[in-house]
Amino acid sequence: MTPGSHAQPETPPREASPIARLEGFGPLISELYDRSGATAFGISLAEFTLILGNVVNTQADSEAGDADIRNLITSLRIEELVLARACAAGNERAWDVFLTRHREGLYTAAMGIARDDSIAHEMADSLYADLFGTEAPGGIRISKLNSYMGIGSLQGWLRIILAHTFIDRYRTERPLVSLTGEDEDEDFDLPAPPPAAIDAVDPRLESATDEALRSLTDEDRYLLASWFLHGRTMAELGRTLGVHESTISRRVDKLTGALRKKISAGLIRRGMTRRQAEEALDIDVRDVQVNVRQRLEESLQDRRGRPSISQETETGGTNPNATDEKTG
Amino acid sequence: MKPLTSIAKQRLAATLMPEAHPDLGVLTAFVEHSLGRTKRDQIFRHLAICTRCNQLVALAAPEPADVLPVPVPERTWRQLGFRPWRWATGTALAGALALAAIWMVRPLPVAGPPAHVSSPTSLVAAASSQPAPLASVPPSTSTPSVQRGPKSPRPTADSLPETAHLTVARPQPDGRLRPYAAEVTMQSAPPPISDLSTQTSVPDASSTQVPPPMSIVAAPAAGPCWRVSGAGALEKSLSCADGWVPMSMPEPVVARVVQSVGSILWVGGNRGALYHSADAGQHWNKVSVPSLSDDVVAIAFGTPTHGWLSTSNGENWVTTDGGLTWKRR
Repeated sequence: MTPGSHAQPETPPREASPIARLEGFGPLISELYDRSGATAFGISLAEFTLILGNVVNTQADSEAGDADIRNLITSLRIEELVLARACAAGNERAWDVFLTRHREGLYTAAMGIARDDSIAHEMADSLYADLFGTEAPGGIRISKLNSYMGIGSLQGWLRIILAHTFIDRYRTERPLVSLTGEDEDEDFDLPAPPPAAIDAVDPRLESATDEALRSLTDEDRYLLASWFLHGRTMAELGRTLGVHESTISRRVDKLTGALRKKISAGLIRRGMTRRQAEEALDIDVRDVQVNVRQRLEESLQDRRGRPSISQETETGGTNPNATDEKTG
Repeated sequence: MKPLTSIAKQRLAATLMPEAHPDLGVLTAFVEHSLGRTKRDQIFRHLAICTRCNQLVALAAPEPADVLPVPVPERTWRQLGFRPWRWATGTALAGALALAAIWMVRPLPVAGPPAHVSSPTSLVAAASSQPAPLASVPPSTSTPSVQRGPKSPRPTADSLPETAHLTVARPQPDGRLRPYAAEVTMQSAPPPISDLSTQTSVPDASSTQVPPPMSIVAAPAAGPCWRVSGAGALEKSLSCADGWVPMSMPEPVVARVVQSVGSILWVGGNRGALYHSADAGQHWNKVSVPSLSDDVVAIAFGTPTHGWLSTSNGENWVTTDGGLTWKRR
């Protein structure tokens, strides 16, 4: 996985016609065109249809039916999509609108990500250059704004791009971060396992732990993995999920406690007495958390079948799990 | 590394192994909490194992606008041996609350009716460039507590200004508060009202039948502007100055107030009408709140999840889950 492989494809898959999949959507496209404000930027209905065609070709599965395509194009941030395309085409009025709306937010977002004024300005300026684009041979302007597909807000997309840039920069400038083999698989690696991880000697404990982990929701597994494996801080998780970090703290505590009960119940179902189950869990909840971490990590890494690299990814606050064994 | 059981491998294959990195636009929508449940769970599964994307969304997530809990300097006081001051502080707080209560029930020397401000809790200043009647209204005019105030002399239509400008802070998509200008425009003479609170607090025939006589032109730092016209129609403008376009609602409704947090819109109207849009007005959902039957005259969301609304009879309703459920306070 190369660092840029997260970027969306700049060109849609080749098809007979970019708008072939939009046949039958004429009235809807006209309605969206009126709503998009494209006329203010001199974008014709035909050009607008072509924009939508490119979005559909890159975002909709090849098996997507009419209903899926309708849902896709009606859920697009159509005004911001038009603004981005108009800017990418070099429309001055569009750039006026873009700068009015996003200039301050771009620097603010860069500052929030980099936590360093000079880096933030450098990142934002660099992104401006990419957004403004360059003139390619043949008079075609190449702008990063062509990658915006109208899914999610333009401001949010700019934040993602900035974060992407920052990670690239961070990984480039941190000599201790392994950059060996920048293939796609590297991005799925997890931090190194703790050196003093406690092995679950009883296979029943392993299976009970797996069973308990399986019972979690995707969001709960994400929370545990982010906290125990990826070294995210409570504040970061709170921002990501839109709740206060104290809520995240309570949820992680509650999750680990519930896991302990489920593992204990699973051990009892597997023939252990309650006392044996508690001994297997070593009673202390800290050991259960070790097991949770260990099982999560194993289950995530073994699927890849290879060792992991160490990555230190903290930018705000600290998570003891990022470097040390979790102890409570 | 210890081998996994076959069951665990099957589980991983089914739930934890991503096919590819999500599209940046999809990650954007994830960060903005605008993905559907199925897609969101899919992203959660990917983020559980992908360090890079996990870090990406953590960095790109906007700062919340939540009010942080106020730290209590209990430990410091105890260390300094000033424990009695805690009682003094409590007494002082009680006194302050009593003074505030007295202030709130005093007659309001206001000459103009309250405006249908779309984000009352975000008001930080009612700085005005124009006449005093509106400018003299306390910043919390649209809050329920002030709406419960006693009667005061009603202004005449002639005494009301045609326009007034407010400086308002509102949450932005990145979670920060930024000022924007709010231009309050008189579109017609106000209907007869018996006191200041009538228009927003006390239900009467005019409040349920007659659309609000004033409209708000909200000019946020980013994104389109929204207002409720004098006829009770929701309107949008990209330039925030002209070109106001009426926005269609799923059913006929006399709107009273509009509130936006990023692309999330809330519209309140007569007889408990409440609508929500997560995509800047492209799609609307009617929110049914049992027992909410009075006119919705104020809506405020500090964050996408925490908000309240106020009705014409002075009721306050609070939500902490983005409007899924509302509780009367």
